[in-house]
Amino acid sequence: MRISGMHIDGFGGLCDFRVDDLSPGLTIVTGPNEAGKSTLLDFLTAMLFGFPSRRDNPRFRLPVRGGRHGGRLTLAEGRGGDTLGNDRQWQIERYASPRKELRIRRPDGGPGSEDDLRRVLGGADETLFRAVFGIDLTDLGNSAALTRDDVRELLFSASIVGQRRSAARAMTNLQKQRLELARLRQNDARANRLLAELDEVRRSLVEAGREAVCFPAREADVRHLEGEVSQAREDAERSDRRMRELDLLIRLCEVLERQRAAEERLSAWEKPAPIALWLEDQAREIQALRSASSGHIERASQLADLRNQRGGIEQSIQAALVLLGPDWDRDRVRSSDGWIALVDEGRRFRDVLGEREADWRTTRALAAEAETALELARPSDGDGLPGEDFAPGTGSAFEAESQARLIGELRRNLAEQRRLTAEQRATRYAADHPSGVPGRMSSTPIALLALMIVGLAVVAALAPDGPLARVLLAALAASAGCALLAVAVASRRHLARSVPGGSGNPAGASEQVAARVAELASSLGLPETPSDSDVETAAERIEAARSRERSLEEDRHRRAAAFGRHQASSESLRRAADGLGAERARFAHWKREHGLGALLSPDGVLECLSALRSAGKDLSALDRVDARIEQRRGDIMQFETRVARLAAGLSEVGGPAELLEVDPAGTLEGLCASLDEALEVRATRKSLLRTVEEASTELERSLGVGREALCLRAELEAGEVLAWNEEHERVAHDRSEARRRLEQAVRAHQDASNELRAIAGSARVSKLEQQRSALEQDLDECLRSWAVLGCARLLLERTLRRHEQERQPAVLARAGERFAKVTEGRYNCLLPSVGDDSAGREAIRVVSSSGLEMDASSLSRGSIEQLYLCLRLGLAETFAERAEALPLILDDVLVNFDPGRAASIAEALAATADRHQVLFFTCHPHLVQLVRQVAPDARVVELERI
Amino acid sequence: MEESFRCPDFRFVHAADLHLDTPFKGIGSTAPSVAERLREASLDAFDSLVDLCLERRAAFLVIAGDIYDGPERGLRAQLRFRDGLARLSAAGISSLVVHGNHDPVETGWSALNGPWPERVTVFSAGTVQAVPIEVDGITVATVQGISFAQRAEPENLARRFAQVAGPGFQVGVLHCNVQGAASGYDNYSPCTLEELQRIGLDYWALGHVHTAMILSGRADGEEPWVVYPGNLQARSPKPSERGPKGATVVHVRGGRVAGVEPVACDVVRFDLVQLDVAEVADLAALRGRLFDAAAERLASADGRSLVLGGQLLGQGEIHRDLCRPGALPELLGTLREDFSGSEPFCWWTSIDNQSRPLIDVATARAGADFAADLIALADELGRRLVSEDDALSDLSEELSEGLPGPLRQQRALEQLLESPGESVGAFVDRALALALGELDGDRA
Repeated sequence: MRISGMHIDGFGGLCDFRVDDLSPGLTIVTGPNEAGKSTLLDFLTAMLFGFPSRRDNPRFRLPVRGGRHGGRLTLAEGRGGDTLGNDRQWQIERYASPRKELRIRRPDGGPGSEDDLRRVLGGADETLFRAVFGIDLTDLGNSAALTRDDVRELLFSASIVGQRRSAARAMTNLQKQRLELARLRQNDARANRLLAELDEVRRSLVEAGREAVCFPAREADVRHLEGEVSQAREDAERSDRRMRELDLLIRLCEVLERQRAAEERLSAWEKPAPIALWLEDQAREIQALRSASSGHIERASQLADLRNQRGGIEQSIQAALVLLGPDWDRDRVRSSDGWIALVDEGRRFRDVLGEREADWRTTRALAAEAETALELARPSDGDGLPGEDFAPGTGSAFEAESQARLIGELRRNLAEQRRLTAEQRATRYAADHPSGVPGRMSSTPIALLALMIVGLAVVAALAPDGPLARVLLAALAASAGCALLAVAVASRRHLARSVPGGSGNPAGASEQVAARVAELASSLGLPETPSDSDVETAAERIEAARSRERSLEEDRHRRAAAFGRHQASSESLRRAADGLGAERARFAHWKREHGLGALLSPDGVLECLSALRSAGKDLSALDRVDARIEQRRGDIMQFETRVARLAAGLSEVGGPAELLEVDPAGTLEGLCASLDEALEVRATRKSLLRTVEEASTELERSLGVGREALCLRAELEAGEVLAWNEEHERVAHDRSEARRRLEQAVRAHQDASNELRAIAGSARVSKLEQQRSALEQDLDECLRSWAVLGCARLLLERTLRRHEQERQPAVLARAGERFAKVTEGRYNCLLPSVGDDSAGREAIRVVSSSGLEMDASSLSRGSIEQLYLCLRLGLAETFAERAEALPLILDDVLVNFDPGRAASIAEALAATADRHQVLFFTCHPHLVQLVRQVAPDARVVELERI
Repeated sequence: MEESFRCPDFRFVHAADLHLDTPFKGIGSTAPSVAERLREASLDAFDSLVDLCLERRAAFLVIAGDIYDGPERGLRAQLRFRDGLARLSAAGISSLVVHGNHDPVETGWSALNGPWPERVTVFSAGTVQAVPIEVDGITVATVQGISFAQRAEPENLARRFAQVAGPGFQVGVLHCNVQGAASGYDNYSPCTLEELQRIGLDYWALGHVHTAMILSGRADGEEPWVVYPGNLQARSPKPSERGPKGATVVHVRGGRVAGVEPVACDVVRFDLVQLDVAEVADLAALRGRLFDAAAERLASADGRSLVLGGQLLGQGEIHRDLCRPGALPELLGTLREDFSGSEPFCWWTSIDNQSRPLIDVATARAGADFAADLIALADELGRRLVSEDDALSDLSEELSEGLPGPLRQQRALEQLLESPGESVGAFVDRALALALGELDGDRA
């Protein structure tokens, strides 16, 4: 691989710097200090392997003269021997800012990757490149760069099965996996954890196994505890049994004493007195009489009250009978059970008679009033006596009315006659004066006048001056003319309509009217042709007559009315008197019928009936009182009879019978007290008998039967209560102790049984065994993996070591040969260090021509630089053999060499340039000349100071 | 047998290697529900054996050693065993038991204070006992047996057996290692098949080998029958533990074995799924293939639960994914999730990744680069481990560097590197594949 061209866009002091067509051999890049040679080395490194990650790295080299930080590099596969120019060209364009950017173009034009680039570079990384291929004076004397593990590993293990994979990295990975499995001091590794768990399981297993082994002993323990439980239970039951016996004895002792006391009292019992027996025999009667005695006293008192009550009722009855009259006695009163209806009838009579009398009085008053009115209506001339004809429309009145109608008709006919006459005159005038009718303006002159006015209007209109006035005047005149013309026409038409009989015969009509007027005047006694005054005079006279007739008519009407009322009131009075009389007769009849006094007024009747009712009630009350008196008297007698019978019995047993008759209540009270005493005595005896019986039953029931019962009975008979109590306390303590032992034994037995069952059914041992087995298996797997990983790592490590051991000597031999030539035989051999591996990797030993073996660090600076330069050339050749011939870029590496050794190194570089591209940077012209002497074809690229 | 004796037909059950309450080996940690089922498996299998005897109306049951797994003899196991024999006794079935190397007579302890149930015979050590078996008052068989006194019984106990006089079928019950029968078993009470055949018994009820096998005997007349019934319940993923496990029902007609019938009594079965990863594209496909294989195995397990191991073989791209840290545990977790809650259960114990990277090792070996050197070095190491006595211990010592002391004491790597399941060569191959895979890792 070689660099065929470059373009620096911006990098340090270089800006837009371009070099093309770099040759595959030796190229001298020369220039003064600060021309950018070291910058160029850093640029090439950055383009091949990337920019330093840190900006403060001196090799980062920010552009100071502009341009984008980065540039383009052209690489060519091979050494450029292809004369046809068919070298495969790789384009690398890399920039650091403003963002990192990398573009790789493969020779076929397609995009390439960093892996492709790495493969082109033979797997070398930046460290290897700067350690072996791209060196400056500072690196040259530093052996540390060459002895780094990764550099050496790359140098010697490159090209593994064509994949360029790092053996060291593989070993690291394997070791990492191993450390995840097991570590010396870290317990989080898998095997460490498993082992810890396994230890724990083993401990638990030992413990569980111990428990299981104890099973037979535990089983024996359980059986032993079963015996203890049985013994404790037996002791407890025995104590219980004795406790029960003692409790029974103590309790029955009391029962026995009670029995004995009752029997003792019964044995001293006396027979009761006869009166006590009589009292017990008569107990119910005595108690009943004592209970009834208070009622007896009360009944006696009630009897007196009833008697007093009866006297009062008797008096009331007598008073009522007196009021009713002698016809009434008690039986009649008792039998008159219809007094309620009588009262109603009496009230009705009272009301009806009252109404009748009121009517009569009212009617009588009205009759008197009508009489008075009739007297007042009678005429003063004595006319109009009762029976007078009060018929309306006498002859004079009718005549006056007739004349009034005639006078009216006469007036209408006279008026008609006058109208007809006027029409006849008018007709005649018209016939005589056809122009018009007198008294009316003729229509003709009006028409003429109108025509004249119209004519004047035409003339005025036609006049030459004052056109407006003329027109107005003409219009006015025309209007007036037209109006007059219209009036004339209308007047004419009116005249034609106003002539009577225009179409008939007015004269005939006038004659008929005149005849009627004459007829009417004759009827009224007036002239045949009466004047208006005649007519009016006649009319006034007729009107006066009519007025007088109307006044007379009114008087007649008033008298007739007064008479009518008088007649009606008289009739009413008669009917009222008749009604009153009839009612009084019925009332009298009713009273007679019911035995009531004839003189009794209705109110008196009602009063008597009230007394009757009261008497009836009194009689009923009297009957009731009598019945109650009778009942009380019977009760008293019954009580007294029973007392007497009791007194007789009492007297037989020598009791105070006389007192009983005297003071039955008090005596009965005393007898009851005696009875209670007797009964109590009897109850006491009965109770004692029952006590004896119950005690006997209780003893039999509690003690039971059999031998033990007999023993207990005997013990009970002995009655050692004190001893029993003492024993009771003792046995109670024993029982408590026995129970406690029993509980303990039962609990222990249960615990042991449970434990035994748990052990028998426990899968703990199996579980732990299983866990142990699983953990051991897991641990075996883990360790097996550990071993496989370790073996894999071991194989890699040994292979790598063998590579170093086998190939490093070849490198050293090649470098030693070159170093001997450079030093002109002063040092003729290089050796690796002896001792441990680490020391061997750290140093090179040099053998001088005299055979002296010395450490390289003891050489002079120039010699050291020459030695390491030779070593690097050897390493580069070795790398090229197995990987790729990378370009060598040497920055002023010859400055510390003397001319001879510098020339030798220059020859070595020229020889190396046969296989590697060599870019030789120097600021020294003599070195340019020196190199050109050994490599005349070398191209010189001159840089100018920046 | 005497000519006049007419032996009635009967059947008996032959079982061995019960390993009651044994912890399962080589399956690592499991889900709690699976662990519980595994704990009960050997006991449940024994219950199945008792049920089998009752169902088949067996005349007797012989158990040829290793009732318990170790001298600690789990309490549960002892009680369960006693209860099972009590059930048989109550049904009139005799039980005849010998102890083997896992439960020798002179070691261990007994939780049972009282006597064994009636009809139970536990043969002692040191002397062969003969027990007549009667059915309906007729002696139908005589069973001889002897127990191990110690775990490592070097004596050929078979030589103590002899044909006994008297009527009936003759059975010998012995825990022994018949030479050439099977490999991988401790050579306790070693004997040969010929020795057993010469003694003149009708049936040898053997125990010790966990694989069921009939060493001698055919229904057409070859006698005697020498039978290993295998263990009652598998207890590890080893090849000998895979497949159905149970007891053998022996049918006897006319005083001769008419046939033997293996009957599965196991509860959980072990199996191995091997898969070539050459054509497996990715982990998802691998998971699918493994799931299908597991489902197929589960379907053909007669309703038993399965404990499966996976073994990935061959070369493939997927090797790199499998080598990625955490890839295998993740795959294992997902496979377990696939069958989570299934009944019967299927539990994946592990995935053994024996796959190799796609590197053509033969070509690489012929090269001259780092890989060639690596392969050459691995070949050399493999050869040394096989040929040099100290090479394995040296390597183990070297690999143990960095291990905490307790871990070194826990298990010597040397034992792990040469376990029965994997040879040292395979171990080196695995390491080489891992190293090559690591170097190959960057290519992607």
